[in-house]
Amino acid sequence: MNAIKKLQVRIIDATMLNCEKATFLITKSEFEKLSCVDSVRLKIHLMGCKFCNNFKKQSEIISYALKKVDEIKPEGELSLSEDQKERIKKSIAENLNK
Amino acid sequence: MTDTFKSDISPELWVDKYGDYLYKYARVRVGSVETAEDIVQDTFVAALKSYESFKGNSSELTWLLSILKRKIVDYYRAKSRKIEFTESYFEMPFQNKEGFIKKWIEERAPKDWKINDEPLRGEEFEKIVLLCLSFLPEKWKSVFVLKILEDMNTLEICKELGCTDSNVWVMLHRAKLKLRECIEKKWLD
Repeated sequence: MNAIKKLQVRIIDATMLNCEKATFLITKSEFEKLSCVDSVRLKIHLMGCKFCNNFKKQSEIISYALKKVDEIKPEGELSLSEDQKERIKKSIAENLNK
Repeated sequence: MTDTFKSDISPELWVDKYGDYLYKYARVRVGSVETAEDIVQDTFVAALKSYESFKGNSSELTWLLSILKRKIVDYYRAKSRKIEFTESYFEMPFQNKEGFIKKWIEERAPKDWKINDEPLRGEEFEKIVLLCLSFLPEKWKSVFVLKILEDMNTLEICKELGCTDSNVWVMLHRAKLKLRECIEKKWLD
């Protein structure tokens, strides 16, 4: 009985995606076209897995946010302090006279 | 040559004109304040040494940015040669469960962020993303930054960091899992 159960698990694992593989493919699919087999297996997995669907949505949100990052204004801690500016200016001046 | 140099570029104005922009660009990508400052400074110094490479057809900023981008890759490349750059430990949020192997551990599974598509959540969300990005282990961060923010292809990344193609995907996957977990904690709190 135990052996049958184990075999069952192996068959399921070989044909169906688990969540670890599914999230791997979701990440990869943002950059590359998946093979037909993978793409179908992922679609089937996503039909029945709420968590992986959330992961997919979150992945898209993160990528979108990162694409917008360069539009954030360079202010506050994302800008140079006066001290930093002075240091950099000094080093430019030193190298300019070389 | 000196004449061209003087008329085409104006190094004494660089810091005030482009300093903040370049600094933010670097800061987002390397995380640390000191490293970002070093990279900006190195960029300007390198620019002074290679002003011949400045072609009037691109703007001064574009030219400086291309040098800065190279400096960021160099930074991660140098890191990747060091021992402390080893794989860091991250417990995957999956476990074996009856029949189905490696399902999400319920407490660590992705929740609904309730964000949908509203005028995308503004800078607060972006700041959380950046903070969590800076918490990533250096190695994963390097791959994540070069791939997603610098849009480099996996082959180039492998060449620079000395890893294999499949490595890159594995690291990106882990980085994403860790990043989203961090964002979720801070965002839904």
